[in-house]
Amino acid sequence: MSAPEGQQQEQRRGGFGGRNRGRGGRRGGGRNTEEKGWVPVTKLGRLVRAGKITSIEEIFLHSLPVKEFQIIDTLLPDLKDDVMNIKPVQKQTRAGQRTRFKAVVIVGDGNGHVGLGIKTAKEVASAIRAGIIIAKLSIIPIRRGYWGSNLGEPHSLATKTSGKCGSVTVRLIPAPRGSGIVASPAVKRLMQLAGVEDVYTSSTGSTRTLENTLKAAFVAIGNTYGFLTPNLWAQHALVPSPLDVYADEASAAYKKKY
Amino acid sequence: MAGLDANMSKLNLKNDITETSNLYNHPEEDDTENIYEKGQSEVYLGFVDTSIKETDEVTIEDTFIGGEEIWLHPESKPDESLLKCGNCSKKMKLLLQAFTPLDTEQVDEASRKNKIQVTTKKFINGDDDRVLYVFICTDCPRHPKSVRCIRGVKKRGKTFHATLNEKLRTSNEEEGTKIDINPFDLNKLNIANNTNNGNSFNSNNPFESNPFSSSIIGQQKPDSKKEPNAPSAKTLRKLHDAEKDKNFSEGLFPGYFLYVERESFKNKIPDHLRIPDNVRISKDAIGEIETDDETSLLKDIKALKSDPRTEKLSKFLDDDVFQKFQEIVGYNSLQVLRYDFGGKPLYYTDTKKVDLLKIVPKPAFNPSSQRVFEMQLMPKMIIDLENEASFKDGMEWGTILIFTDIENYIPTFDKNAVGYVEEYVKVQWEPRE
Repeated sequence: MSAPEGQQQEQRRGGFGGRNRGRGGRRGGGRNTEEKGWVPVTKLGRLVRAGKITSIEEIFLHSLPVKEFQIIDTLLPDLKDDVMNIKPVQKQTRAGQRTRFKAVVIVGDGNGHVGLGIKTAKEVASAIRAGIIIAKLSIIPIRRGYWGSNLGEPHSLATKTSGKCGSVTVRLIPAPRGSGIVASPAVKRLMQLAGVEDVYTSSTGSTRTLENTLKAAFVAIGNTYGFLTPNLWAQHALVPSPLDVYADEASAAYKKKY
Repeated sequence: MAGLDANMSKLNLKNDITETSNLYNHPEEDDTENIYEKGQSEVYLGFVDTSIKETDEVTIEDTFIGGEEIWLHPESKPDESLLKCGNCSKKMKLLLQAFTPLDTEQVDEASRKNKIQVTTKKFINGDDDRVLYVFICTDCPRHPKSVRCIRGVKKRGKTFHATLNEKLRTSNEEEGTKIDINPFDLNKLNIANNTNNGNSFNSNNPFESNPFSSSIIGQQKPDSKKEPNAPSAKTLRKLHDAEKDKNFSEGLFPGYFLYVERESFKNKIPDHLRIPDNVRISKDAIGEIETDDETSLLKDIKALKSDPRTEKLSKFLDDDVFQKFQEIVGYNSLQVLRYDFGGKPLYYTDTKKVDLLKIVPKPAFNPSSQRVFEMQLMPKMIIDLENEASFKDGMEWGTILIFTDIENYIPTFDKNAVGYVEEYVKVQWEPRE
């Protein structure tokens, strides 16, 4: 009863905004302007926000789709964002040339998680911004290993892997301790953000298209978990994905209908 | 960031990171940019005000989420079958009750925007009570019939709202004097705000009832908040918060009142529209300006298209529709309801395959008319309604779109001048890969 009158500027008898407007104050409070940071809009986001999921590995285990990059921000607070390349791309139109900007972004925590984002936009700033978001959503885990004996923390990769994009092929080869990252600057940065300390690389193809080189390297480090080494042969029980609980029912209902 | 600036100026680029209009620029979405520039849109947003307390008397003129529905007349309830889940036939839970009167102005606007010829305006009256009820069955997630919407209209007599309008006007003029303990002023106040006496309207036949007598009833049991020396808004809020939450019967959601504001983009820019501070731009990132000509670009696209998995993945990562959703919600992240009669919905998932607006069915009870978008429920509501986020039982809708008959047609009114019909609901569920 206290404040509503003051807020009723455009008094209209009808309409949602008309009669509902200004009624908010009736219980004595104005607008609670305190925005509490991130308000998730997906179920996974709500679970992360509520602390039900505390590590990104749980998300990887069940291959849950991550739609909100804030989920990644929450679970991996130490992410570093790196803009590797910004270049104008032109498209010939009837009215002349239209220039847009393409940004290539890498994010990583330097400890086994890395993501790559590429986005074209009308403006540089929005290309970078969207590139960062895509990079965060595309974060993958990296399996690290040893070159020789299993002493200390894993420093290199477990196996040789390779990846391809366009004409570029990038091959990653485990290296002994102290070798450092032997790679082109962009791939080197990618390996640094991935947390690989020692690795040899070899690449073929048109490697000066940075985008494809990075994509190929990204595929290669993604393949580190694709290779099933003997020490991973132990059988693991398949845990049903928490999101699959209702999937059977839903598909049954769907089939019944059609 | 210094390096960035230098690089930007080198390229002679716009670097207005903080500018609001500088959102993702999808070439086809120029109209949204205009909205941002104006700083305000035509959309009304509902925010959670406070929880419904034991002492609160909920009337039909309240808009609230959760809790228990209030029918337009205690004796006039919609058909039982409308309240049951279309899949499992269990009774559904109330998600939202929204008080949404319609006036001719709104309908004209909506018919102009949507290019719909309105054949009759007989049912459109800003003074009628019009309420939308949205129900959900939490046992049948992702089932298309598990969410239903009922529109209820209660007709009001001519004499009644003539006086009411009169009262409204005078009470607005006398805003300054409303603190006096003049019983007449209190009456006006009562009517203007329609908080306490809503129930008395309900129980009386509106054609017979004298607004004065009913408001006097309201005055006889004055709310402590209406005392002349009313405490400040803050203390009132504290007092209200201290009261006990109303307990609804088992299985229902907790209730919260909503308040309504116009959507504004003047708030602080949401986090995801800013470039993080720790961004590092490599020295040679903008070194060479190479221009991709048409052919190499085409090659790129071809290379992408050749692998359906990559294409699917890149589409998922670069989801324009969802990003726009997040972006617009980011400005007012606490919104639980978007109301825009005849406007355009804010999509949660892609609608390119099926144009939602084209598949909205015409109302079966009034086939000559069409349905228009009226409002949508936002996922923040789930956080409010669910005590605990859980994997198993959590609701999974992204947004619930409500489409209603533009003519506000009601086939039959009962003896209490109340009628209910079901309206069209489209739920966009969270995509699952």
